[in-house]
Amino acid sequence: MSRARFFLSAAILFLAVVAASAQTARKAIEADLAKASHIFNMYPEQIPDHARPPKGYKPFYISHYGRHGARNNGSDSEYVLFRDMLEEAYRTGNLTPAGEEARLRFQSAFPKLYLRGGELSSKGWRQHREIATRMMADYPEVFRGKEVHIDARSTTVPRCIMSMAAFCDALKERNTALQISQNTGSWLMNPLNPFTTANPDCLPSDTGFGSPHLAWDRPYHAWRKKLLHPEVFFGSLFKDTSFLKKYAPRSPYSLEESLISMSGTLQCSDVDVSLMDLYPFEEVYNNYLLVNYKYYVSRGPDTLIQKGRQWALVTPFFDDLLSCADADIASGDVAVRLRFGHDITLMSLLTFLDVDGWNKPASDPWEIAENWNCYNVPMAANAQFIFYRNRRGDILVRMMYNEADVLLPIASEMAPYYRWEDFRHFCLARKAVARQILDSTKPLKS
Amino acid sequence: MRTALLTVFTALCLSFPLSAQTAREEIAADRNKAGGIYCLYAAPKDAPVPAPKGFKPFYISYFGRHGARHNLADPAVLLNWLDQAAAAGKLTPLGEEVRSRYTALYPQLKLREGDLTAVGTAQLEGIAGRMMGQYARVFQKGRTVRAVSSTAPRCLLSMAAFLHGLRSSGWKGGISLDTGNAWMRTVAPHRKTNELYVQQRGRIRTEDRAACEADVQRLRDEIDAQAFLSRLFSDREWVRSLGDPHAIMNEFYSLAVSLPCTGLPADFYDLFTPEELYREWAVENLRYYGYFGPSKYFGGTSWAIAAPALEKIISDADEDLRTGTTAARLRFGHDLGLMCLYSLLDLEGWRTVAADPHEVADAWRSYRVPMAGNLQWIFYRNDAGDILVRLRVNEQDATLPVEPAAKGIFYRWEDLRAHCLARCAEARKRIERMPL
Repeated sequence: MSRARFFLSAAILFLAVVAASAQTARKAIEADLAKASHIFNMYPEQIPDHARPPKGYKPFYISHYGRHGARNNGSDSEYVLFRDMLEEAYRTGNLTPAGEEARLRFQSAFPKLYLRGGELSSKGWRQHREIATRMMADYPEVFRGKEVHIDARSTTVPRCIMSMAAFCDALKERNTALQISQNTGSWLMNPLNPFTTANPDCLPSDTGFGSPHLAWDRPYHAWRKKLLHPEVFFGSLFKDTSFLKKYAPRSPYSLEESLISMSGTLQCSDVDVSLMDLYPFEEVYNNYLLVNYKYYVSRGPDTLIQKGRQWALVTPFFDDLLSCADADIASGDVAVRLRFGHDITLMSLLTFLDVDGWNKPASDPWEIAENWNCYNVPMAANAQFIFYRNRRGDILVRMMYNEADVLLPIASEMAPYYRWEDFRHFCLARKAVARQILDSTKPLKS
Repeated sequence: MRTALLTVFTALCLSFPLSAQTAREEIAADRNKAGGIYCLYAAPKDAPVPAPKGFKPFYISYFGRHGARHNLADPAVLLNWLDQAAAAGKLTPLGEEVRSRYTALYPQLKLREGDLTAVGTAQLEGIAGRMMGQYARVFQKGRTVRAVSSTAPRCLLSMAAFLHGLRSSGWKGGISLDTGNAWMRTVAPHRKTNELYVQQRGRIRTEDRAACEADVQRLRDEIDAQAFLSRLFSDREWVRSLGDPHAIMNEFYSLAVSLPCTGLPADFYDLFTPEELYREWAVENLRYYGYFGPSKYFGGTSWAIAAPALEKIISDADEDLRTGTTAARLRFGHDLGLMCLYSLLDLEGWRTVAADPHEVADAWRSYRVPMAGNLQWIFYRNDAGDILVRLRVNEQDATLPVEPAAKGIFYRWEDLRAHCLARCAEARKRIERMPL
């Protein structure tokens, strides 16, 4: 190929990519409103066919990281708040037709939601059982044998422990001889959730969303004011919104964001009710862009605020993945490593691995949502590293994300299968990049 | 007549299982018991007394404590004291040795406060396995095992271990698991999620609390903490700068009694004389007895907070007997709920009110709520549809003041149910009657 033709092809390809992905998130959400519920999107129902392994290779070891399954809204307080708002407006004749409908729907769901805040739902329980069942069916060789040891670990959050219990029980039900150890505790937290101070690199400005030290707090609030229109959102439900002051003493923006997000969790709960379809689409869509922005700047490839510091913090997960794999392959003692944690680890894991689109910096919420979309980290999202071996002892690894093959930026004539050594070196190289970022970035505030 | 006599004899034997030995003697014979609630579960060796002819088990209701766990105290506190003393040159040779033993152990304790251990997992798996083995008829395919747990990770893992144990023993049926605030008032009645607890605690008068604390302090004052500390530290006055001598001694006691729960090859019992161990236990025992036992301190209401838990056990049984689709109901909670439940049920051995704080040790013993301690209700039915229930505390038959229908330990469900509901009503009435 001549140089000129190469550039032409590249330019065409580039244009094609841009054209195809223009308004990626908007189109996806228009087609499926469930995606507007960002990280509360549900696990895919359809699992694609898997690429066949190269001839002579059999699976022998699995290393996994899974997000807890479908859960209720983070706390009960939004349930109570929304019920009280709707009831007050009902008593005072202040509901619009959409508000009337929202009240009826929410009233019917409330008893099944109240006191369930933060917990795994039966849908989440089922998601993990199904993933476990498919894992066993897809890689039977791994689970075969007299003394098959499975090591499962979870963060200390009950919904994660319950997800682990669901997963492990589905395995044990199918093979009662499996030896499964299930564990949790602060001492295990670092690789499972590297965004806590259990990670020595993690500073107060790097931790959860409630911290007053967050480096991205200010731009996030600026975007929130641009993207959300509380008067439009609440105006769709209430004729007169002045009574809302007592429900949102600090910020109507915060109230809108939390109520749309709570509504997004309804599909995850054990209720058959939706509210998102009652709200103005632009508000729901913009709320998605906002939340997506929050995850992108806090756990994704953002270079503007913290120069990639956020994803680099996921390194302990890879330390664990590699050291366990080295030890387990050498000893043969553990056949499966299961880890149960949270969305944020998966997001940064995908960026760490430079998976297509997940490591692409962008400058505003719209540009971010062209490539980096948190609805792709649904409830029960998971990464599985499946190890294969042939008779000669050559080892290959493939990465499955939500049980679909993932292409990694590693040279391989067998992609999506990669030589274990190549994958290992790639991880170490990325780890070195991460180290450099961590060492060279200082949080803006601490 | 002979049967009647035998029944009376059996009932007497069961009623006074403790009368043979004082707590001091029991602890001297088994120092594990000095740990109180850290006591390790003792799996029974004997098979249960067979059911009356024609009666088959068909349903089990279970309320259990999590399995063996790590100490709740931050292990860094002890390390810090020992390091400070070493730096100041205030350790005796024994103190130096203890410091080096503890320093070596510390990495395995760090960040594990309250975590379930492998010992705990094995306890729950064992209980589940024996349940499947002894009451196999209960676990028929097509039926469901329904379990709920306190939100504490050690309880959730205990629930998971129990189910793992059932599966290992061949349980093929359905399982439903749950946790969360919706369940807390019934699986952990000693928490603020239980409205009765909030009510009872809110009505405790300052002077009543002070009376209970004064009795605890009396027993504590009888311990010569300085004698204990002087074996480890060379300077009495300097040790005082670390804190209250008894509080320091108690940290060492918690370490010593909690270590067997970890399965780690370490032992700090040697720091204590048998008498010190006994007295440390007696102080803790009095506190549990006072706040969660049959004590008279708060108008005899300490145990009454478990009424929602017992009411739930009854209403679950009502539902499950009606539907017939549930094999077992499992609940995983904590020691305090179990203690209250025993007194609420008026179980023999759990209702003696001591006249004096010194007598509490022989009236009521916290080590009978060991790690993985549990109460099992085994339901039996005959062809005529009569239902009998036996109560098992830590897999040993237990009795209560209800006329038994057979063998001194099998109660008619209707009689037992009425007794439970009456006790719950009494509990609520007592709390209601507390002065505002």
